[in-house]
Amino acid sequence: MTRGIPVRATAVWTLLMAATALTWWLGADHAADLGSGRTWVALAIPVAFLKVYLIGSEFMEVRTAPRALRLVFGAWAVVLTVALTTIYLL
Amino acid sequence: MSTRVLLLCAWSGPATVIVATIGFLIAGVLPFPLGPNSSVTEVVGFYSDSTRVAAGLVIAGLGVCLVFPLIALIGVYLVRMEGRTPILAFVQLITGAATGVVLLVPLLLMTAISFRPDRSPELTMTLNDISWLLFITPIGPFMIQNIAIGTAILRDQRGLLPRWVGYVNYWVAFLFVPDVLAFFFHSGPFAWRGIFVFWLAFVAYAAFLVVMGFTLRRAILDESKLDASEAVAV
Amino acid sequence: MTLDISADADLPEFLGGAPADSQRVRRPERAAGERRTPGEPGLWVFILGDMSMFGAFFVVLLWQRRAAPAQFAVSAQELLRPIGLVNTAVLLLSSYLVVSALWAQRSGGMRRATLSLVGALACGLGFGVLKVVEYLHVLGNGRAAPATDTFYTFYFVMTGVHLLHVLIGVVLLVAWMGVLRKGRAVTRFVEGSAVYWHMVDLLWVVIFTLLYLVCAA
Repeated sequence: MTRGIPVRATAVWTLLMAATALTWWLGADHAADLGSGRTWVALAIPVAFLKVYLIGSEFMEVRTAPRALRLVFGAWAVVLTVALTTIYLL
Repeated sequence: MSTRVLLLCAWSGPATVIVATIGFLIAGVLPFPLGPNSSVTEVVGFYSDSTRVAAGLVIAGLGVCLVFPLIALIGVYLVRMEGRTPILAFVQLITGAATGVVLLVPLLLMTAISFRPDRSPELTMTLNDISWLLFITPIGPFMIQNIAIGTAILRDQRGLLPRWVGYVNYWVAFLFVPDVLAFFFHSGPFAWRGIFVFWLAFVAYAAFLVVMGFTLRRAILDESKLDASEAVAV
Repeated sequence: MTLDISADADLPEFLGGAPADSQRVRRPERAAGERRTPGEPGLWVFILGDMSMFGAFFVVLLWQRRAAPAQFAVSAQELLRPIGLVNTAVLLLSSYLVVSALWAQRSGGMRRATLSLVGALACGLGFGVLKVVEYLHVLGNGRAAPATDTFYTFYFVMTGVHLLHVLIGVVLLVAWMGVLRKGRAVTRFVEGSAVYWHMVDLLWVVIFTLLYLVCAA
């Protein structure tokens, strides 16, 4: 009896697709109508890195990896999120 | 004696970085190299202090040649890894030899520019362009060398060198990719002195030399420990 | 094992001598349930290193944008955003299929794994085709000037280097299918190829967000 893909992975993928749609909406022109368009667009960056972290954690299986790897991977995501959002808003 | 020679060859890796960097600092290539958008005045001015520039470049030129013993040492290890048909070892030797030449010739050209500081500025600019483009862009031999080393290490069942070193070689190969963009940009991060071309390649290649040098030294020492009379910790 | 290169030494193996040694590196046995590094530890030197190189691209891109945000917006808006969005979805799907293939192979379902990989390959190639279509559109516009317009410089370099990564990923997936054909179990190489493919996917997520959305605002 072969096991299929874990339900968790399918759930994560669905979440990723939804997040992509969200990013699309954030970046699309009508997001700017909500006022302070820059803030909404800036939100797209953390959302992107959240997706990145999900892909790493769930698909790359970093979640079940030794703590050192999880920390480094997470640090990369956090550092870039902060740096890129800051530079964009500057 | 034999172990000592091997260890010296391992040390030639970091030595390349040190000597070449000293030469570049003396010549003024580091910390701020000339760029494609440097003015004629700046370029001519750079080479006008000809004695210092030539001396620095001669040292740098000798420095980059220190890479040859390291390449040979890598070859020794690759031959042992590959057994009957050491094809990757041969690829590494050939491309490694090419990398040494392709680093040396542009530096000789630059030294030749400083040979006559009162040359026509147009000629100086042209020779400077050629030297820099020749120095920065020929990524082929380097990338093939790195891929050969990485593949040989990862395919080695006996684990003569740590596997992460193989992955570092793959990474270094990727880091050289942007260098060909130097042909297309006169300014910015992808020009010959740009951060993703000159600086990335400089750091990546230096890291490669240091990593290979130190891991080979460790491997040599570990093996020679088994024969105490030969072991000389350098 | 003695390192001996004196004149009397045996010939190297490729000239007919005996192998230098026959030690095999023993990989430590891992208890079930213990945390394990996907692929192998050394792989992550490459993965995190490559991700950092792109990270540097991202930072410099947004930094350069500060000098000419309006110009960046004009250029970025000329990109075909729907293609970018479809490409993102295609790569996410391909990653899902790669996960599916890995789990299938882990439980012995070689055929299912192969089918998943074929799907992932189709996605990868589809991504490439869409990318080329977009390149042709952008270049055909006549307004794209990679050498002088900073946005287009980054657009072509970042997506170009990424496309190179995709091509290498395709090669790795094909090699993985070769492993499946021989009926072998999951190896370091298989896991490593999967991790590499996911990296290609996650890098595109950021590239899409930055180039198509953030720069275009």
